[in-house]
Amino acid sequence: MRSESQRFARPSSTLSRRVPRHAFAALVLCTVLLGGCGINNIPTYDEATNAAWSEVQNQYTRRADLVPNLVETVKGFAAQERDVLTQVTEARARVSQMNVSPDMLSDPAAFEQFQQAQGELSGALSRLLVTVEAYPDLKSNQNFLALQDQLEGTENRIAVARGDYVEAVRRYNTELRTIPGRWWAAFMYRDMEPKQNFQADAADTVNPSVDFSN
Amino acid sequence: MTLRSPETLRRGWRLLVVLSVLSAVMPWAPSAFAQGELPALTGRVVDSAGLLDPAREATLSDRLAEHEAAGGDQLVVATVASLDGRDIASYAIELARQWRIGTAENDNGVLLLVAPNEREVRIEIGRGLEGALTDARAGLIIRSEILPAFRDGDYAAGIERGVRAIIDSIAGEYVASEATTRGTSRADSLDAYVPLLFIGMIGVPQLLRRAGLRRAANGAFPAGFVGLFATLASGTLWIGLAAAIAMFTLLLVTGAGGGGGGGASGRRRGGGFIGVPGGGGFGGGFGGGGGFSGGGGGFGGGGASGSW
Repeated sequence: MRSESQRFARPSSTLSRRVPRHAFAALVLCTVLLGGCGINNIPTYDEATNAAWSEVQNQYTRRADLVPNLVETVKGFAAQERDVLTQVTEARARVSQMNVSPDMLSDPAAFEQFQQAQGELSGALSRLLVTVEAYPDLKSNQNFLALQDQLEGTENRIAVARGDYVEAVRRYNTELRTIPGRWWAAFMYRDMEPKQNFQADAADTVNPSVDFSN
Repeated sequence: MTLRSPETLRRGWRLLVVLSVLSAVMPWAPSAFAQGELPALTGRVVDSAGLLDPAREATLSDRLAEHEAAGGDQLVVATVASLDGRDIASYAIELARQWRIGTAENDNGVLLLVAPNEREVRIEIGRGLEGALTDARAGLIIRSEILPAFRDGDYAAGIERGVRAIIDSIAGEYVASEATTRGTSRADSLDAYVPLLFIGMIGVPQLLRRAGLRRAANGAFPAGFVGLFATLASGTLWIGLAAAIAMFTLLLVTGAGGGGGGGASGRRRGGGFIGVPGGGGFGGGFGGGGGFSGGGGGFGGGGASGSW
């Protein structure tokens, strides 16, 4: 029965004399660390994407919730602008009826539908704000100004949330496409798909800057 | 292949080791990113546009410090000579996020940004204060406190009144705890230290061997390995250091380091993967000293803007 050190001692050969032991181990370490890293990235990034998406939806819902109040306030001063008000109300109803779930992030058609509905509400709101320009009483009304601030604030938060979501999706999709993420995906995360990203739609680029300064 | 002397071979392998280690850790090297045109956080009042004279700036800064001591909220006033063609909302949020105003646990930061050239002002509110200082309230403050003074050309007064109104709105929302009032700089990522740890792990045993401490050297390598792994896994340097010292002591005490170095390489367990989370984003907690710095607060885009 050989002793402990004899059993585990490396057979003396020219190779062992030429390859310093810790050099070998260092090489192994590098390989292992390089290969082993990133195994948790995909689920982590996936969760980050879902969280970012929740935030986006949160802000869109917040905007939709502001609409009834806004419509009532405007009606108090400009009831004759029935068309614009109806458009806003209808656009808001369509947005509220949409069923959104994290699954739709990988579904281009559902995602497109969501973006379109929100875009329509954006457009209707812009038109409403432009119409308000013609009513100085309404423009200077404290209630309306407060709503205006809230609406602008929410639009800004939507923009920020979308930006964060875009960044999260970028990380996730990149991880799926690059090595070693690709390998982990093929090996362990077969059902993970690339997620959709926001396209810049025409409504976004047209931003009527309503100037309330006197 | 011609026979080379053992010395040459050793040197060759040493070089190979160093090169391979360096190439492995390169991805972790901190990327030298350009700061961009955003100003640096030099204090609670960053007056790049020169709107405030030193005395008023100091008073304002003191008031902001007072408020932070009481409530832990971080208020920063910034003036910029130019927005570089960007719109104030996107500039403000990028600045607030870069400076990480507010504490990480409460997200209680507020940034008052004045751009006199573009004649725009914005109050950017951290996530944690959105309830106390709503968008509507911020808009009201801008319209009633700040803009009237700005229209008269009195920037200092406008800023002071704005700050007073903001403090009134958020006072009492958060109570400072011991941790938040220290204002330590947040999350110096460990990324910068990984290459150093690697090199140390190879270098320290080498040095010990040269010094003739053969047993120590043989114990140092696995100790370094364990220390490195513990650091990466836990995200803090001290745990890694403690683990390395523990391993080293264990090896010395049990005498495993002696006798032909059976230690590290002889008993290499069948690897498996070490699931170290990939290179990015280790949050090491190193306490920063002195000066004012952000506490890691988050911003969601809430706030209000105004122009005159």
